[in-house]
Amino acid sequence: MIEAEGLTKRYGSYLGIEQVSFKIDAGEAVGLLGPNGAGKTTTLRILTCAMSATSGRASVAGYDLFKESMQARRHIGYLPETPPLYPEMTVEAYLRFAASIKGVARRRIAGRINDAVELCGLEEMRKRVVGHLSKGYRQRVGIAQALIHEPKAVVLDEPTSGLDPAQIVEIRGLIQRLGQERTVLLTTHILAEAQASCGRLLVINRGRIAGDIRLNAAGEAVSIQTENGAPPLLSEGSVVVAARPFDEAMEARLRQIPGAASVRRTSKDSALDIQEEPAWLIEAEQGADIRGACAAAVVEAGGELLKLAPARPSLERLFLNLTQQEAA
Amino acid sequence: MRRLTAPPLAVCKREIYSYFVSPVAYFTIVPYLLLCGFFFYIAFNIASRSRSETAASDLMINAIQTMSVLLTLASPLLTMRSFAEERRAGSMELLATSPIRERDIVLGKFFASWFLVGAMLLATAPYPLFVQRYGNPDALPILVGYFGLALLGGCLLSLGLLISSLSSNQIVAGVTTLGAGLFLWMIQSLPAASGTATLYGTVREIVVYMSLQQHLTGFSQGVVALKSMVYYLSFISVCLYLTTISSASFRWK
Repeated sequence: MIEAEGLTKRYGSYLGIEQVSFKIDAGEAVGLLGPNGAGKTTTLRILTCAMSATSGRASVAGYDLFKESMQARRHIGYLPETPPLYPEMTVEAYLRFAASIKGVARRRIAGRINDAVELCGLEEMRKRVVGHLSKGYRQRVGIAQALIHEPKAVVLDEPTSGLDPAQIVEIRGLIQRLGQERTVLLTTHILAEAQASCGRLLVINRGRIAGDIRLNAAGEAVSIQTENGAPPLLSEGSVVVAARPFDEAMEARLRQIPGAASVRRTSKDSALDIQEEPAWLIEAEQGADIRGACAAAVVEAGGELLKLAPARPSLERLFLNLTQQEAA
Repeated sequence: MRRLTAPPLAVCKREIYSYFVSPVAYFTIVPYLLLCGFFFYIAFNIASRSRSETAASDLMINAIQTMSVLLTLASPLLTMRSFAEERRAGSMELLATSPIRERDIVLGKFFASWFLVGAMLLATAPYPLFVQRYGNPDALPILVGYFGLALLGGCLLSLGLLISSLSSNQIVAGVTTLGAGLFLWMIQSLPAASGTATLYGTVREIVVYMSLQQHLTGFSQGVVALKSMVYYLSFISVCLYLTTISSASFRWK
């Protein structure tokens, strides 16, 4: 549905984004995640035709953004970081205007306004002047505007920034409803935000896509691809073991554990929450539960067990890893 | 197929809506009418004491010139926001990402502001009608003069749109437009002031030709000169074309 290939944007000598490539399938909800200034908004503005790219190609719904811009724009709904509102207009007049410039046929405009107003919970605000609405409602009007022409892809820039917690929950719910019918691409610098609304995360750092993470329904990473190749995702049941003494004999003993597929030394792995202390990362064979065996092995070898923890990289760690690695 | 006129019409309608729900329209039209009324009051008093047979016609010729100067002062108020404010407030993103051409955005905004100037001029109609009631001015020069005023207004508005499209600050846009408008008004008196010694034939003619108000003289006397029509219409076209380019260029930055 949304495809980017080698998108690069330079602002004079400053590089906005560099060689950004990804492919988003129809129906996916994807979060573009990165620290401030990483190039999130630049990417979105290019994908919505608000800005041109210095080089590269991109398409939405099969239409090239640069060659068939008008057709492509019909299929994109865009909520910029600041909702593009006219404060002096009423909600209804504003949505009517948005519908008409987005090419909604005249006889369908009233119906589309009703749908968008209902979906975004704006029924009671229809006749209100946009400038008098609270920030949360303005955000909803912005989202209603992005949906008014029934676009196949909806692109939202920081949809919950600056809202209070109750409003954030409401907007998240709204985004989840959108995700059921449409392709959604949103940016955020808050991981929990992306985890709550998206099935896939594109981590962007310093203008480059640093990682592509797929999540399961619980918001845990299922597969990770990074710019420098795909690091193996640990199998279910893998553990981190720290023990004294940290020596060859102990390592040899751990290797003998039935169900242990591999034993590696590791230290300072922020993705696995391993700090100063060196530890072994023991990967389990599919379906094996090796926790008890690990503890027993250390004790039998006459050592002290310092730590035994499931080795599942937390998403937060992974995100920090991806964004810090690059910066280093 | 949707009708071709739909997108510029939608922009135009929204602009007019905003002119009237925000105080811009009233803050422009009301002072304009008051100042025009004030001028007519004075001019009418003077003309009523005149014994000249053409007093009423002369009054109208002067009135149209004065209205053109007032138009120069009023028009920046109508155009200064158009691009500058939309860009600052972020609503430009809506237009820029909608399936609507740059040209249509510019045309929509232009016709909306022109509509307002038309309304403003129409609202001054009671004044000449009043003169008509008590004097006997020629009707044709008045009508042609108003037509000229409308064209002049179009020029000032297109210039204002161009300047607004170059800025993200409505005050800067407004003041620059006002300055440019006054400059185009004043240059007609430049050759007279400097004398032939400094400005020779062709140069002098070009300078005078560039003045917006100078062309109005013909209209106010009931003459539609081809060169004036060409000047006004090409002025508008060039400004609107440059506005389109300037507005589109923001995508490349």
